[in-house]
Amino acid sequence: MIARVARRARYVALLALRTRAPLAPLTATVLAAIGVYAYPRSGVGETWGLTALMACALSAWLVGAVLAAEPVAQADIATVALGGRHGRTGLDATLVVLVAAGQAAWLVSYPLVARRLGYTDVFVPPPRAVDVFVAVLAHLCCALAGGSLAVLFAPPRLARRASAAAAVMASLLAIVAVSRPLGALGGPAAVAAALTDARLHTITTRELIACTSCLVLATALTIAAMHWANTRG
Amino acid sequence: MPVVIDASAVTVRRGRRLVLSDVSLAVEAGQVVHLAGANGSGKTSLLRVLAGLSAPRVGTVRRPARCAFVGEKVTLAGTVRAGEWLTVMRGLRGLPAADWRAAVRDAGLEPSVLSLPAARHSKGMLQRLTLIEATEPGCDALLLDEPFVGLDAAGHEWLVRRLLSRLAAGAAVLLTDHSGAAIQRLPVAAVLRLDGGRCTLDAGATAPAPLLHTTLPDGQTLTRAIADPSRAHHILLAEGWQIDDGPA
Repeated sequence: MIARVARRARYVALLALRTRAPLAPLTATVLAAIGVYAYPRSGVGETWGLTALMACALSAWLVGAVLAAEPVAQADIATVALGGRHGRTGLDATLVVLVAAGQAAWLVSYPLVARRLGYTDVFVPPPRAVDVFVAVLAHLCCALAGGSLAVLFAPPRLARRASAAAAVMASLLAIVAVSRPLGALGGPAAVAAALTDARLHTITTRELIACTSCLVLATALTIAAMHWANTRG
Repeated sequence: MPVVIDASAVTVRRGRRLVLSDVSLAVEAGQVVHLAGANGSGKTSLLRVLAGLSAPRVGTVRRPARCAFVGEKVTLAGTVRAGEWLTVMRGLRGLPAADWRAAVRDAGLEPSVLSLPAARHSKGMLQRLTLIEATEPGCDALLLDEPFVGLDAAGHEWLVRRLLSRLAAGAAVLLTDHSGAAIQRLPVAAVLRLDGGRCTLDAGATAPAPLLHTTLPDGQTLTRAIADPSRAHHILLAEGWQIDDGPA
């Protein structure tokens, strides 16, 4: 299992590093953290809630960029090598998980490292371990949902890059629009709201439900992507 | 012989258009099956369904063997180096490392092509590289869409040698070929003709033609599948070969 994931990760890494497709979204991710924490004395919950929501959009951009950099013929050869659409879904999922882990690590660790380097007014009051745990969970879940959204609109489902970008943008806006009536089940926007409203140094049921709704959304999007590819492939 | 691909009552639709209707076929190890038919008859669609790239609307496809697929239009990401891609693909299949330098040399390419990015390769070179990857031992079902198109004469000979060695090792080949190279050079066990969404077995090609091997002056072996050996001279002359019968 680990060897299989490592082999998929190697293919994804070759594609990403050689094509340099992630350069623009990675730059945006770095600048997002710098911009958010440029203002001192931020509140822990609302700031990490905001960056979790940003992780959703940024991971959608990053995953979409890497998948769009793979020519269709090359993707076909790789898909058959993986054993068909199920195997390809595994490769796409590996990419989404790697991107989500990277996004969560960067956006959560940035203020913590800044504090260590002497910028103690980044968060006032300072976060505790429980806050960091909730932040990592929130960023991971939101980024997984965003990455899965990008997979849904990646080739061979939508061949034109502009159509894919428009579809991802429209879907992200729709997710934000429906989050209020859905409450805690509203995906990434509900995660952001739950983190903002939660009492400091606690884990609330609302936060856990919102994170779970992101995971359910990511799973549904992945299954939909596989079925759509089966009809378009 | 074990079946490497088994399709049963496959129906494929593209939107409202019926591409394939109730197609069944079984390809056994060591067989070459040629998919024939006019443009748009559904050959590529059938290959893609058999390869697992798309699912049939109705019917089932079983792939007990590890499959390799090479499409008609071959492109790789321009900045990816050929050697890196071959190595990573081998890993993606879960197969042990291969000697790519030897395989590339056998294909008539310089080993230095392995360190060049894909954008620096011609269409024919890219096609050879993807065919090298697909035909390296490990995959027992080779699904090739027009593999001879884009290759020069030496490329044809190399691919025939490569496929014959894989067939001898128990692999099966399912291909489309408008060039006629496959029928002339490979022991085609069956020709499946696609027409109007239906698939029929071409009665004229139910038995594989015997292979004729000729040693060329440079030591290479020329292989042709020729049903009537008395016509071998005519066929080789028609291909442009010069035949010297030697001293009487």
